[in-house]
Amino acid sequence: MKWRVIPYQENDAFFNMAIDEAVSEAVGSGESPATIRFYGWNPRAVSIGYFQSLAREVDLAECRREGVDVVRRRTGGGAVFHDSEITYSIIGPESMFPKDIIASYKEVCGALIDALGTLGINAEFKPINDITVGGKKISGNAQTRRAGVLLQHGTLLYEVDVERMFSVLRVPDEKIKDKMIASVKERVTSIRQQKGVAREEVLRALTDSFTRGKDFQEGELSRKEIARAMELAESRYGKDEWNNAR
Amino acid sequence: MIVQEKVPGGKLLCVEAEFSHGRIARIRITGDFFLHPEETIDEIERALVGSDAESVAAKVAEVLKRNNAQLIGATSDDIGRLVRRASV
Repeated sequence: MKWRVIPYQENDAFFNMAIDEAVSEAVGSGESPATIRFYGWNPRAVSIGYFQSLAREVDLAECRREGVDVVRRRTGGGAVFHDSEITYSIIGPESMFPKDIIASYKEVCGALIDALGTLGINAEFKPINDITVGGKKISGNAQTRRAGVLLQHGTLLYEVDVERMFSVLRVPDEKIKDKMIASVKERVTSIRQQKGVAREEVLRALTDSFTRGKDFQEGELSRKEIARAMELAESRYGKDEWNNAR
Repeated sequence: MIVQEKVPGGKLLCVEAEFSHGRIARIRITGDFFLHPEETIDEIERALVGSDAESVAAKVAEVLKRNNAQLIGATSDDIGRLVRRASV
């Protein structure tokens, strides 16, 4: 099975999520090969998990003021502020991955852990869906499976500014916000906090580890995938009825 | 009433439920758990309306089974426990 690798590109939040879905559909129908893509978010954005409450997770007024996009993912998991990080997606027939969900997270996260290892950062998989360095979270991941296709996307923190993160994310209790920010600072880390490596180096290491042992070719989105993604960005991911569904 | 809990070894689970005469009138289950396929959550919430807190866990399990769905980071018993807490 040949893989397609789509090099790093930046898009807005709605188009990013729409691309993941359009590629999943195309992989499902056999029109596109299994795909690995790397991407960033421009403008900066918050993505929330499928089951999260938008109003409880996100300070929408602050997001508007700061020009931060907000999108609901079609995967579960938590809210993420996509600021200075690298996001990946891996999309392929379910048969290419372990049937057990935790085992499949572990396998895909293994590529990130290997990449971090080559950069001199010793990371480990923390079930269900996190990667940690010295007990601190550096990566969150989310998976879904539908129509025989597995999609896992995740984020790797390149730099982290916890204060800025909590200017757009809500905490359960505003009264203890300062305390919570202090505790999150203790529990989160980033590549830059671990090693002074450039983003390009990280992307190279990720591309190498994700493609290791695979027959792959650098490629781009097909015209059909782009058209479908534009349609999904407009009809779903950019719509209040989707983003505000819970 | 809203109750939430970080499920031990799992994810954050939040139940928002309104009761009328001991039965669920409205329910919303949110959190950072996973459920494949995701849309199953709507069927779970629909199935719980009209039910009492005690039968929630079994009803959730039934909907999961019927849809061949997988809940990750929480269980049907966790949902049942939170609904019971929301009912008092």
